[in-house]
Amino acid sequence: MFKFPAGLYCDVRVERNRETMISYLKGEIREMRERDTAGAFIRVFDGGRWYFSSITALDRVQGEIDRLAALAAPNKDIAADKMVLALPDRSPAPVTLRGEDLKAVPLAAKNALLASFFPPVTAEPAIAMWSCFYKDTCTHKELYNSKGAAIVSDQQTCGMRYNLSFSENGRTFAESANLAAGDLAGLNGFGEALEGRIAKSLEFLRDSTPVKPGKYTVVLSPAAAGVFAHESFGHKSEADFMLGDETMMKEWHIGRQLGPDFLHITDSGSLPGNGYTPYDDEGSPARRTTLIKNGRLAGRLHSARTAAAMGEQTTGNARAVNFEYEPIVRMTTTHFEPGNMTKEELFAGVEDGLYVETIKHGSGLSTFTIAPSLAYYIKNGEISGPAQISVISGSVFDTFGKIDAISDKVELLSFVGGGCGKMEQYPLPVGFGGPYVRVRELTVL
Amino acid sequence: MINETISSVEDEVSIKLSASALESLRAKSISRTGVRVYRDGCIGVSGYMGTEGEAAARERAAAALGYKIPYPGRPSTGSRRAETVGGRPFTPQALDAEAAALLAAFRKDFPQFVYSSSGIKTGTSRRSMRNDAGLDYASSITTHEFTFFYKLASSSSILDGWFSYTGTGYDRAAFQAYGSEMLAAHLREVPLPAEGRLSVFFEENDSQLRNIFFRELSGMTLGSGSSLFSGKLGQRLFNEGFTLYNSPGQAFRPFFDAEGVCGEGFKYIENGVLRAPYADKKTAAKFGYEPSGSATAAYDGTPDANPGNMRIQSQARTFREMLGGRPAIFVSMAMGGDYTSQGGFGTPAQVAFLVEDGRLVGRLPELQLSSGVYEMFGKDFLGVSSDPVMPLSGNRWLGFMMDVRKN
Repeated sequence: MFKFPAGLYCDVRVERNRETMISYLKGEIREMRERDTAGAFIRVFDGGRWYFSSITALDRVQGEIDRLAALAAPNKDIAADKMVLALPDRSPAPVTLRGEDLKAVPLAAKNALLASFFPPVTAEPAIAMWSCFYKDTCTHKELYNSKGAAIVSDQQTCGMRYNLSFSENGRTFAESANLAAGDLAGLNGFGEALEGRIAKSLEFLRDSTPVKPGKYTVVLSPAAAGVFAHESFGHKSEADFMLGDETMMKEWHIGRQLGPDFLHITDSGSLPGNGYTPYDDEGSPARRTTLIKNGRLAGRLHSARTAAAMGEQTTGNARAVNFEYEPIVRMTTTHFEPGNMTKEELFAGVEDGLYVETIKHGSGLSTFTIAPSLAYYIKNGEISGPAQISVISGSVFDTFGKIDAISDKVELLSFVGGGCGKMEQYPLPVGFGGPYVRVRELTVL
Repeated sequence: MINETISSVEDEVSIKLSASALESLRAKSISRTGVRVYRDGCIGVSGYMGTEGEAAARERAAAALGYKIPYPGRPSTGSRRAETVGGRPFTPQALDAEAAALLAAFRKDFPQFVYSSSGIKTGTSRRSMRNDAGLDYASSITTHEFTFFYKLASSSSILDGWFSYTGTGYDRAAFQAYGSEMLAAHLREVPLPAEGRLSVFFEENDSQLRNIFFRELSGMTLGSGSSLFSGKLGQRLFNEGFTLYNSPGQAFRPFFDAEGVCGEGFKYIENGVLRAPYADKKTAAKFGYEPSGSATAAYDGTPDANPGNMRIQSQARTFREMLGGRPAIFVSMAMGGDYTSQGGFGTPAQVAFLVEDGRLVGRLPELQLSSGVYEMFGKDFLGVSSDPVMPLSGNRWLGFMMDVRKN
């Protein structure tokens, strides 16, 4: 298909997307479109440096391969390069869609689904402003490399989000209801979730009080625990941060005890939802990677480059946000595994603490942060009223040691809009979630 | 009926550094075109990527009128303007050489650190907006970005800090001096003088501090009564030295927005008085506001208001004059904080420096900062300096009195 130059590794990733976007503002149509796009990302490696190009003119792919090759230094031993050896050389059966093909669903049907949830919103007078959108993305990817691999996959995701601004007696509060799935059937239950979110938001609007800053025991919902796992530890498991860094390699050595023995965290690109990545963007297949087992560091996430450098296996985590970018090490669906007690037992053990149900955003470097939206006081094991919190934070180095309970059921979640950001690449869809997690001594502002 | 075409061509070359070595060179050339049709108070939109597809996109846009998407404002008409900002981008070879030279210099002077970056870039962004009612706008902006992430070789963190410059000019010596001051200060750990209310400075473009205005100054939110500031237009809510305005120029964005409105200098808050929200034409028409020139749109999407170009006006005093001989804190990295629904603010400060006499003298421990919007931009507002954080940069020092605690 392409003529790859001698003495160099080369791959070409062609992406063709169909996106649907429908949005309303306070019941008035704002956007209704179907978009078809195509582009290519080309990589050339000479054993020392990478040379990349991203283009929208697909008839220029061969020209770009040749142009990048001219910048590189051909290497007769390129085939023996450790990283090149880690890259795929097979052409597996194409990955086909799971569920109903969204491209075959009429725009009117998608619009009707989104609009069917207007009534509970318009019926609530305290909702002063609201918007909503439906979005789906169908992606066809083809990856060809100079080792002879040809990997073809089709994926799709869809979702809805209602953004709600409440106002009453001079007080305001903003929340959202959000759900993503692999097809429209996966969006069943959105109406119930929306109504529940409206009820809780009204309570928060009317009764919330500012929390007194300090250190608290915090219970994290599956959504908050998912972000906690992602931000506090997930990024540390991305092996590109460790390359050439002896301190990081020593600090994050396999087997290091990080938390209690009932703490387990995994990442898997095979799970349905936003993190579903059957083949990553350099062609490595998805794997279930155990990152923490029995509280000890058990694995990390790799691209071919990092796997080769550390003498480990690829994990299917080289992902790019779209055809404009090169694949880098990213999470797929990262979550806590079931823990050591029931949800009821977990709450019962909190005398004076906080519960975070929904969040606005999170971040994770040396200090991880979670900015809660719906949050509550816990008194004597019971949720006692809504709490206004700016931010919850803790050190990534010792917070896992302060986890003292994890509930025994896992809930995986996918949302539409937003995603994970790393360097310049944002937003990358990822899946997350988990059980309820209880953490001692988090800083609350 | 009015037909309109919006085109965008982004050409960029970037260098990636990893583990203190040059890892990759990337070239991008991305072309997008949006086609709009206005008729009977409605808008139809479509678009295409690449260089071909205008006729088909125009047919789709005309068909999209059938969706009856209201557009009560009139498209901009009858104005011509073309503006070129910046000079030529670096060639790939020249950018590669410049990145290598900077990396070598920092490695020589500060070998204690490991350097990485995905933000060494040069490129030109070309935008145009034309319609058959006489609008003809064109913008070409060439910028260079040099961002260095650093971490101590002995550190267990993913990164310990960064320094960055984006602008139309470039001067290696100035950038090197800026980075060197931060790296040198990072190597000197100093204690927090005292917990409590202290002078805290940020770079003025730190978006976290303005999140509350992004959220609460939306015309739709304000007009519908769901903003913290609803019903307060014309009232003095903040310090009289606080002026918040629209400046696409300082953000290196085109002089026109996605509706052809030129909003440079549009004031949202003037001398502490709430003047106007940010609004696209549709919002402005609905609530009787002025369009602020802050509409954005996907290339094939309908316009919507966006607060991204908000800046805080600087005052006459230099940073050193603002300090008045007292020590202060400069927060270089504060990630993850936010405002509560009632305006309370809190954030960790992951990287902060002690400042004396206008210079960074040492690295402070991680801090927790807290305040509230009416305090920070009211009685505790120290202002924005007249001088930039580094020569060449349009970015200035922004200060508040805040409650500061060790983490």
